[in-house]
Amino acid sequence: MIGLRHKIKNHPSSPELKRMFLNVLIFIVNNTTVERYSCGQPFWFTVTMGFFDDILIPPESLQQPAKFDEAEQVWLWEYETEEGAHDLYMDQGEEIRFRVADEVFVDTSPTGPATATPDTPAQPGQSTAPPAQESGDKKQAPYTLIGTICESGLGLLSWWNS
Amino acid sequence: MEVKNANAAMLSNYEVLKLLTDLKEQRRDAGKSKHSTGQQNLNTIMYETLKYLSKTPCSRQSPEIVKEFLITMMHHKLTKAEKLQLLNHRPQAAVEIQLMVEESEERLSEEQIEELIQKVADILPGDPEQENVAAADTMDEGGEQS
Repeated sequence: MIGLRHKIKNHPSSPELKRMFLNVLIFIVNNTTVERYSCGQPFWFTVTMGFFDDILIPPESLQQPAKFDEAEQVWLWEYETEEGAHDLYMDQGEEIRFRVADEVFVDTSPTGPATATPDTPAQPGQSTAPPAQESGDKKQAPYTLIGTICESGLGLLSWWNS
Repeated sequence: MEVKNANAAMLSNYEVLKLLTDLKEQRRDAGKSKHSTGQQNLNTIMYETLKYLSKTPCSRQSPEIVKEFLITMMHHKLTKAEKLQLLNHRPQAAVEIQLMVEESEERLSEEQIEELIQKVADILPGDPEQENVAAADTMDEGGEQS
């Protein structure tokens, strides 16, 4: 669980500082909508809250065993029952409950003329970083959340509501 | 800019909602803003966050409700973070309580979990729409006798 950080003192108005503002709001996150970016790679499951989009759940943090269905372009949970595996699909637009496992800060301030990979400040307990961008034009998000749904009660709300 | 004090305090969703709503009023009262990209970004994020929060339990809370909730929770020996979770999410099922309270199987008996669920439901206002649907379902089930 990640607690709240940085009580707001002043209200900055520059786009850079709006991320600091966000820090107050990105605390223990729950109940969100599921959305896959149309240009997203199939290996990462992405989530949006409406006001914040950079939330990723790596495949190993999905309910296991997890599988990506190439035909449907959708992740699913191969839920084991006595009758055999029951495929629970994670369709786009579904609401899920997830836990914030980690956060990644990337310094996106402009560097000099020489191309440099963004610095990720080392933080204790930092998990795998989000996948590297393929095109040089795409900006890396300055702040990304890494989530997990690999726990009882997490994942699609419809899986747990009686 | 430097961080003076990380983790200075924990804010509940309700406090954040209030803060954003006040900020919105202030900006409106202050007259037309400069409409620079920065201002627009801030406006967008404020609007979207307010929209998100308005669909969560905190939109139906008040300082009095929060106070009553915290007083009631005092004897349950929950950490601040756990009480915050309960306040923000208003859990209605045992599985949700287990997600929010660490090692709940060791710290809470089944009766205590039920008690928590009941208190949360009593003190924190729920979604009127959701409750109407639930009430209608119950009436349908009982209902042929009238």
